[in-house]
Amino acid sequence: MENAVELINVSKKYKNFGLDKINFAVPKGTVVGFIGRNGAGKTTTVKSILNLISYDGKIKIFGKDSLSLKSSDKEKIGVVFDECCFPTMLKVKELEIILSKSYKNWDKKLFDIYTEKFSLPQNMKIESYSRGMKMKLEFAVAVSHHSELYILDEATSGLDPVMKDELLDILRDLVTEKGCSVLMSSHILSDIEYLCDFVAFIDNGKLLLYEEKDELIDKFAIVKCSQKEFEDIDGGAVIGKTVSRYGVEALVIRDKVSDYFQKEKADLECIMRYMLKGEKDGGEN
Amino acid sequence: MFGLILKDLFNLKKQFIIVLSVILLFAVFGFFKKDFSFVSSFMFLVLMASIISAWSYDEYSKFDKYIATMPVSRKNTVIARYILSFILTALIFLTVTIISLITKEGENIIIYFALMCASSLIFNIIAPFMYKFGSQTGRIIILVIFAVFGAAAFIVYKQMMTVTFGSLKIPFIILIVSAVLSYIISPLISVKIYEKKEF
Repeated sequence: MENAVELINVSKKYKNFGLDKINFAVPKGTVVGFIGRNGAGKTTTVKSILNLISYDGKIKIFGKDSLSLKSSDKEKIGVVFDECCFPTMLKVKELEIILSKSYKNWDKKLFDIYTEKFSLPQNMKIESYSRGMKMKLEFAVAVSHHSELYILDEATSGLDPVMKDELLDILRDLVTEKGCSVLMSSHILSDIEYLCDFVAFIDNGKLLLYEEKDELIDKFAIVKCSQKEFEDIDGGAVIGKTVSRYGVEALVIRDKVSDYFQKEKADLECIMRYMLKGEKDGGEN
Repeated sequence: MFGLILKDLFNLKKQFIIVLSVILLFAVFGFFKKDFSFVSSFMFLVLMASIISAWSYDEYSKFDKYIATMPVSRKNTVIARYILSFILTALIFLTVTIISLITKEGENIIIYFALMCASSLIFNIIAPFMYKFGSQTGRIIILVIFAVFGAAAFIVYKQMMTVTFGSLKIPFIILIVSAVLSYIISPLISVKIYEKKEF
């Protein structure tokens, strides 16, 4: 499958933190959920992809080295940052003029439709917008230049649930109808779970896993049993567990545990939580 | 690139109102008083100050980060601001010249031209510092540069009262040449700095 984005051994060193040989890809026409805790390296990875920071390794976008992307390639990338980066002193209609002069594919009609839909008054200064409105504005801009690749960094964090669903639906439509590709980083896993085809999971600058979401969810299961029963489970099958007075809840590898145990479907949040927590016993949870 | 020039123009709207009112003041001075080289130099100064704040606006809104993802190279992002500075400086020069022609102070045009060269030179010296250190540290550097230029201008001005223009030919030529050169060297340095910048 052709990749919209491909990261090959991407590393970045900071004083107290760094990315360590990140490898994953966003296959064309798919949504990749990029998950991890705060400070895990999500934004640093996104910045590397967008060539905002220097890095070691190689990043390919649309099959080309990201360092030598032409304007016509950048035209096809829509970006939504977690903080709105538009000139705050400008009115939205002024921003629209600037963007229309910068993007060849700029679609004013589409921008008007989206600002109307998201109830964003174009006559207002961007600084007087709320956080959610700024987020929506960024999204409206990204869509209005007919991007083929969307890179969203924590883009849903400032939105109310209704708006969030609406935005995720729009993204879903872009992917299924227009074959767009999406890389979406978030620590809110329910958003990602709804939308994504692949999951890339990063922690402390290292990629813990990169898999198809459905396979990932099939691979793991949640087992709830008593402490005594738990001892029968092969230690290698247990990813993480929580021990409480009432028994044990553990994330296990589905195939390695006998069907004697009742295996519940594990959602992304469980998987992420137990993978990070590991063998530690969480008393109260 | 045109989009970025427009962005700076929109951002600097308020400053231009100040520049415009200075022009008005200038015109009034022109009619009542015969010497307005002070007012014209003040105009260039206001212009410089307002272009400098273009950096602060971008820094404040973090728009640089977004521009880096737009279909414009970092090189052109930098060059756009130089073009803006050149256009505005030339516009002020034209305005000042036209007003002085109307008020029949034609012989001062050469001074205005020198002022234009000086203010271009100042901008071109400041710009790489702004790209390197940001607008906060940049401002301090501007103060130092203005002080140096102010002192130099004062000395030249003192001489102008006593000597004829002919004897100032060499400093004048040096000024023009260095202004022209600065338009080549300064963007080169700024582009180098900006291309390495991390957002």
